[in-house]
Amino acid sequence: MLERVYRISDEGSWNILKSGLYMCLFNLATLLPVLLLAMVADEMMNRYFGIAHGSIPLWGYWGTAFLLLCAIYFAYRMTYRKKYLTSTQEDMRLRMGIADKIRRLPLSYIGRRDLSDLASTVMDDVAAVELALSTGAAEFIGGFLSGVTTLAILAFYNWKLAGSLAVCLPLVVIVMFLCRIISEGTNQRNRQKKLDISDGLQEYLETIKVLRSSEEMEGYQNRLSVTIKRILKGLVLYEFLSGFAIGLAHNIMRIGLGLIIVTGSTLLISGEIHFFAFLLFLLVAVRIYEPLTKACESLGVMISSLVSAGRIRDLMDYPEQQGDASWQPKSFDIFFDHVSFAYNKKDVLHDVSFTAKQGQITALVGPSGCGKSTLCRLAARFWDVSRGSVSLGGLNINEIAPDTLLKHYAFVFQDVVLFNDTIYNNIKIGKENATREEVLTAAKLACCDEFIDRLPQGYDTVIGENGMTLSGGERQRLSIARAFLKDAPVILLDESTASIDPENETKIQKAIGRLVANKTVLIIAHKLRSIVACDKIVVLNEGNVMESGTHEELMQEDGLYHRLYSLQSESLAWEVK
Amino acid sequence: MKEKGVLGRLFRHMGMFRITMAISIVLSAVSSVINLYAFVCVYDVAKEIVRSLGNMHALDQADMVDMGWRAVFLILMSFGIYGLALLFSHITAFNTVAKLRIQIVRHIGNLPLGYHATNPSGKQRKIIEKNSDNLETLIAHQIPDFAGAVALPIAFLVFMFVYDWRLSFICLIPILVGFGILYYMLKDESEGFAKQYQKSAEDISNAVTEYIRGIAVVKVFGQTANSFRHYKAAVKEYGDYLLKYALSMQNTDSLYHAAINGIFFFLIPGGIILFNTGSNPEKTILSFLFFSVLIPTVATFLARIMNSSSNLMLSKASLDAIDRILKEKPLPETKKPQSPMGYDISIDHVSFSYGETAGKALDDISFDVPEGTITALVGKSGGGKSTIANLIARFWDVDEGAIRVGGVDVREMDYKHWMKRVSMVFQDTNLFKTSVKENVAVFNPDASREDIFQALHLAQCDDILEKLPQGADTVIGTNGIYLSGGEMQRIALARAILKNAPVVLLDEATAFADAENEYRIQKALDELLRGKTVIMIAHRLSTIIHADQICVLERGKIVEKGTHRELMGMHGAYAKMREEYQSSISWRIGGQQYAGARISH
Repeated sequence: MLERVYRISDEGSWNILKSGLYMCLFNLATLLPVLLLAMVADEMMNRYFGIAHGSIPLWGYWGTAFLLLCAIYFAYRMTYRKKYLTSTQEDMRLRMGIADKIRRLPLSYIGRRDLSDLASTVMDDVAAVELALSTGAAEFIGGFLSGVTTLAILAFYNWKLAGSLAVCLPLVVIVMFLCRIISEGTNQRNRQKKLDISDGLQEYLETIKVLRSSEEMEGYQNRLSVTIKRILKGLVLYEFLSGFAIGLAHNIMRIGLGLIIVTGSTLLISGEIHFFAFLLFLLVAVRIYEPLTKACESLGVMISSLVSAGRIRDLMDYPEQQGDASWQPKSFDIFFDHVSFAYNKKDVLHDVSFTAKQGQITALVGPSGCGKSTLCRLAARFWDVSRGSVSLGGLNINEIAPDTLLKHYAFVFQDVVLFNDTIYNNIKIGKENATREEVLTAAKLACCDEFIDRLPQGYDTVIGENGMTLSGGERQRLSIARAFLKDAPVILLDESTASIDPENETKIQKAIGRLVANKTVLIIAHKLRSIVACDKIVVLNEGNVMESGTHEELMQEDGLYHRLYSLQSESLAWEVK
Repeated sequence: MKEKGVLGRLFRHMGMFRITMAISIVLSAVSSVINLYAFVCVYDVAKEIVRSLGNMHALDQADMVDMGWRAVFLILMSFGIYGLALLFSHITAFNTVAKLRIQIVRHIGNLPLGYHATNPSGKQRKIIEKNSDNLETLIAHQIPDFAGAVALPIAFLVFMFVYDWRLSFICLIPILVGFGILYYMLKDESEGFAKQYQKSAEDISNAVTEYIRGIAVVKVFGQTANSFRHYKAAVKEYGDYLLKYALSMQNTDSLYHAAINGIFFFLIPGGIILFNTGSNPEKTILSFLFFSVLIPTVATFLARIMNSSSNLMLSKASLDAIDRILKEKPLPETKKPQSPMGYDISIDHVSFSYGETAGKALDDISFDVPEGTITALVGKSGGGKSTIANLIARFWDVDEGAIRVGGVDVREMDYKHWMKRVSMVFQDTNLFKTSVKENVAVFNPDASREDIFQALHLAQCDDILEKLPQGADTVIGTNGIYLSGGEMQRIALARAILKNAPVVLLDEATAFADAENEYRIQKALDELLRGKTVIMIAHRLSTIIHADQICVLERGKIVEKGTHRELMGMHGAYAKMREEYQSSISWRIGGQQYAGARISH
């Protein structure tokens, strides 16, 4: 069951179960000395009242006590070992499994959820599961089993006494269930409230520059403080009530301690039970609730981990893109055939048709939000189209396995992702089994060699998290070097909008010029003057193809392209006065 | 002990709610002592029975039943008092944490803007939230539970010694052993672990972020095996660390549990020997029973102490994080603020570096910006252009030299006063989730409706207003009403136009919005810059041909200074940049260059 809920391995689930059994042994082992103590007390009494004579045999009892002590030690050690080894192993396995799954998800899934959300899913949810496994599951299984076993044995011995120990347990279950039902709805609302505080804090932190130079600062802070106070008050109150309810449940259980006195003494006086039995039950009574309490607490830990477990399951069950993995392309024309696409229920593209021919450069232009980037991503099956089809070399790309398809693509996008690794390895991403020779050539072709040579350790310089130490232009060139190394027949290019100093800019341009030669190129263009020589320009607006053709053809049409081109020419001539 | 330090610091943050905390601690302690009394009832019953064992009929049934109910009553009372303790601790937690949060909110509002530039807002927010949540749990639950857990063994010890010191001594052995192990476990070793753990948890979190950020690249380049390397290594390190720690504690922890559950191992021989050799068998029997009944509670509470102590240690990290924020020094404010005479800006031998270890971002820089003129800063990224703008706006203060406005050092001016006279454009747009109108009027709360609309009009925002359902009254940033980057920039420009500050710091930076937006932004800039003293970080050299002064920066130094014409005449760095620029703007992808398409001035 654990393996299905938490997505851990069968072996892990079995090991946790075993750990629970050892926990049960431990609980029983801590309970057994009670019997020994009662026996010793009985021996004392027998001698006191002259029923038995001579000394109480010390070694026999002490020896037994020693065995019990050893049993306690080893049972605990076993449960400890099993649960921590297992939970850590499963924690690692889960983290690897999730990472592997993420890799196989369509990129649209990653695009839909923001980065930190996804990262926190992996981190926090797995940690919650780990906690449930390491401190929850074994304690629950052990506490529950040992409690039931003990009660069963006691009931066999004397059901009236055992009954008075257990009579309150159903009540506890009811209280716990009520709590759960109530908290179900409240938790949702509380999460929202916490988000409200977060949003308030986030806006404040983001706008602090503006606030500091305005008169609004104090007012804003006051409003935020009031919000924080109001929301926190509710949250803390709720937290108090739930803490109180849990305490109540535990203490209801303990009422049995008083009840056994009432029942036991009545039975004793009526002669129904012997003193020894009563004493034994009394001693058990002071011990038995501890494992049960722990079982309740652990159940709480496990229940609260279910949300995390659910999120992990959702991720692991998310459908992957399927397709033929053995496909071999014959040609590299990209054909958009009446493509429509909606994203978050919002139409982004309507009925777009055009062909990006092999060996030609096709530019996509249009105002921001017109659908240029989406088209580019659809071409590589980052998403699947809603209607129509995209085909490469005549085959609908929906029928090609994403990994196979992507072998034929290279990308130079604006947001260059670099890894906290050496320059060399960052370029080598382009081709897994590239030789050093190939990497160096690619770097040269991408005009990277000049800045790499200036770095302290050259190609072996580690560039820090996401390449923080490099300038925008240098990052761009590294990503071009990757594309060179990959040498794919289809190139998707997103021209940079960031301002890069002129020297960098010319180098990037030189590199791109080399890269695109004789490839199928789809370029998202921002600077219209740089695409006037393209083979085909597709002009988009609000998801529709407005016009397409060469620069000359479009300029004659006097449509959107003409207007954008003139605006940009005017912008280019702008200067401060 | 370190833990005391944590509590001491925490108590200081509580202010007058130290009283409620104290009440909660006392109540919790009382509750656990009363709880102990419930166990004493069990003993009392055993005692009665033993005393009348010879003659069962002497037992008073009503008496016994009473004792049973008394135990029930004590248990419930103990819980009731514990509930009260929780109530007080939650009151304390709420007030302390709310106070701390508000204190932080106000404090960070006074920090130099440089602090916010280097600490991303999301990260700051998470630190504040996570750590104040931790402290809340600490105050609301762990402190009262800890108090109860400590009070019980103490009360128990008192009970024991009053009862029978000989058996007490014997029972004390495993308890002391237990405490010894506990101390050993929680000592520096585990504190070192907490730090290491934190570090490897951070590593893994960085690795996850990097992995997910890189997922597209990984997919695109089909790097299945390699992509995992870092992530795998981080996960492995984290896992190995956990395992190593868990295994290193396995014997100690097992011993601890054996010790606190093993009191019987000492009690049994002790009791037997005392009985065999002693002279007062009745007393020995009774104390033996007494200890038999009460020792389980010791085990329970010792286990609880262990939990609360390790939690306490983790809370130290939270308190540290919060105190670190509160200890950040606010921007120094002058006692006797001076007002600038005019708005000439003079950068006078200014040096600055971001932190001790970083190199000099600016190295002995000097230039003057006469009032009403435009100075452009050009150069490669990392040359120091933005740093100059940031120092003028007092994100940071200079290390050496001075920045003067109208003859007055910016550090000698009233900060707010100065901020009202500078507009920063294009840093980032920083819009509030309120109406467009309120966003524009944030610096001028008294502005009339006409003024606001005029500013929006001058900032070329008319098309935005037309598009929005309630025009300028539309609340932006929620309910699916989002603006594009270029549109947000124009709203921010309207804000600056309305503010009408005499000094403008302009970063042309991210400018390449789409053609339409760019065109309008430039029109808006024309309005904003008219007649102002302007310092501009320029990227496109074509825009600054007519600037009054151009400073070329390289690695924190000014290498050339002058007008476009003068600099071109020098045939130096500027002239070379200019040449590169010309070639870059006439570049065409995929073909021969168009003759005559060069745009030149």
